[in-house]
Amino acid sequence: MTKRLMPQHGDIALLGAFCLFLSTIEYLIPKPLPFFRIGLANLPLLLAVDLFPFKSFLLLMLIKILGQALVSGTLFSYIFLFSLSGTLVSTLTMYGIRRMAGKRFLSFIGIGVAGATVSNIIQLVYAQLFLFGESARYIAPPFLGAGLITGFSLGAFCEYFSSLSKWYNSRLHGEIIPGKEQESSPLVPDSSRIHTFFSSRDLCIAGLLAMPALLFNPDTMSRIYQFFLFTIYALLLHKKINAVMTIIVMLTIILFNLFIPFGTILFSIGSFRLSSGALRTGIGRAVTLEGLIMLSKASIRSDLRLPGTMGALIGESFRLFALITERKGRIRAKTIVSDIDSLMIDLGSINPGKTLPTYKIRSTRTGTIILITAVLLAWLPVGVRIFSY
Amino acid sequence: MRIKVLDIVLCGIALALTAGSAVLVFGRNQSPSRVVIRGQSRDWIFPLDTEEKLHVSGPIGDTVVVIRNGNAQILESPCTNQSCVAAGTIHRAGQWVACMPNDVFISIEGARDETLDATAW
Repeated sequence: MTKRLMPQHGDIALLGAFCLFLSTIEYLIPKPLPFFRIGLANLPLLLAVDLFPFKSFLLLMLIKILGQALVSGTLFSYIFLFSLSGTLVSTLTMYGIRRMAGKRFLSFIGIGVAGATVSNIIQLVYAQLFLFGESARYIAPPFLGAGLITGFSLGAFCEYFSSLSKWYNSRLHGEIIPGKEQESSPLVPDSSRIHTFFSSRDLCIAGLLAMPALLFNPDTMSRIYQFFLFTIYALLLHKKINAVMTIIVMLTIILFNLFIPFGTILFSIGSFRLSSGALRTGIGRAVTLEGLIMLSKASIRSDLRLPGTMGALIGESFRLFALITERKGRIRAKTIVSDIDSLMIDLGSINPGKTLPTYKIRSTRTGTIILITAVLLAWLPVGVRIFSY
Repeated sequence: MRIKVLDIVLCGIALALTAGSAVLVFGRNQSPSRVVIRGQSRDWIFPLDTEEKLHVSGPIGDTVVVIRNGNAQILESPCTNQSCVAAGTIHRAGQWVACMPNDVFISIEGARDETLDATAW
């Protein structure tokens, strides 16, 4: 019988770093459907099912959710809500069925399929509530079918990886293989000049203050204004924006809303009638989603540190993530399993207790004034409405 | 790599969900009923299950149309004979109410065979 050691925080941070790394890879892969996800970032969670006790597993899950939102800059948007509930329910399902069914009759493939399916069901419910309305049911069959395929593939990869990985098997049996001692690399925050004006904390607070101006404002026209305003903010802060993807996502949301017509008929082609109410709802939902994403991209900087153990763990994951990105050239398709494995062994032997580099950039006076102006500009349409009554 | 019993069971469930949702969505053409209102200069369309009160202006004044509880009706009319108000509510596909003097026409659109089944049984 094998005795399992309590995993150190180092292992959680290491798998968390891989979640972050795979999130960025996922972000780079073009998708046939705008809301489609492969779920690459769930691989470390799948691996952890047999390694970690429940508490550590939950910590890893939280790192994945928060870290992913920080990497993609979607912390303040529905996407975060989608990801939060999707990951929460699917990882608990994966952990639960493994604990109930054991290893004899169940492999990672079944666990992966169950996790993907449950996560997709949750996301479909949210898509109906926030994005597509009634028409969301039309995406249910392709979404669930894709979940079966991606879940199966991820599970199969995990099965293959775990059978060959030295790192995995050493952790499963509670041993630690010493790797080559690594020099830790400092985390470099966004280095562009504009970022020296604000601390990441103040930037985040400004984002939080601007968000309700968009969410609690029922008027579609001013939401369109806020969407453009937040896009300008994100561009000014040198954030990467995929214009084509943004437009495709927005058009998809509008199109789905047009299927349920209501209001004045603007024109009709055959049996399809373009109605004003449906068009307004669609545009409203599209600019709200993308507006939140833009605001989030603008106000969340990757050197943002959250307080407590959780914050420290996420910080450690980000540091290891930077090391993985530095060394990703060492991972080749032919020897993918052994390359990832040796990377994990090397990174796993870095002492997590080493001092984390901290960046204490304080907002300058100019920076504070810019942030206050930015928040006030976001609230402008709301103010105009109140005064015009 | 070996696929185990429960893997097959779970894949089966996922496949059944996919197929089931496909049948539900694409199998039946169950487009919900809609109310189409044609006025003198503008047309409107609403799902029958909304709550809506609409003032349709015509040659002799405003006709008030109400959609409520899955029914549509003309509530008030500026015309003299008031037969459109007397016609009451409509809800089945193909039903209509009109106010000739004020040029307002309301009809229900939707899957007809569904209502045929309902009456046949």
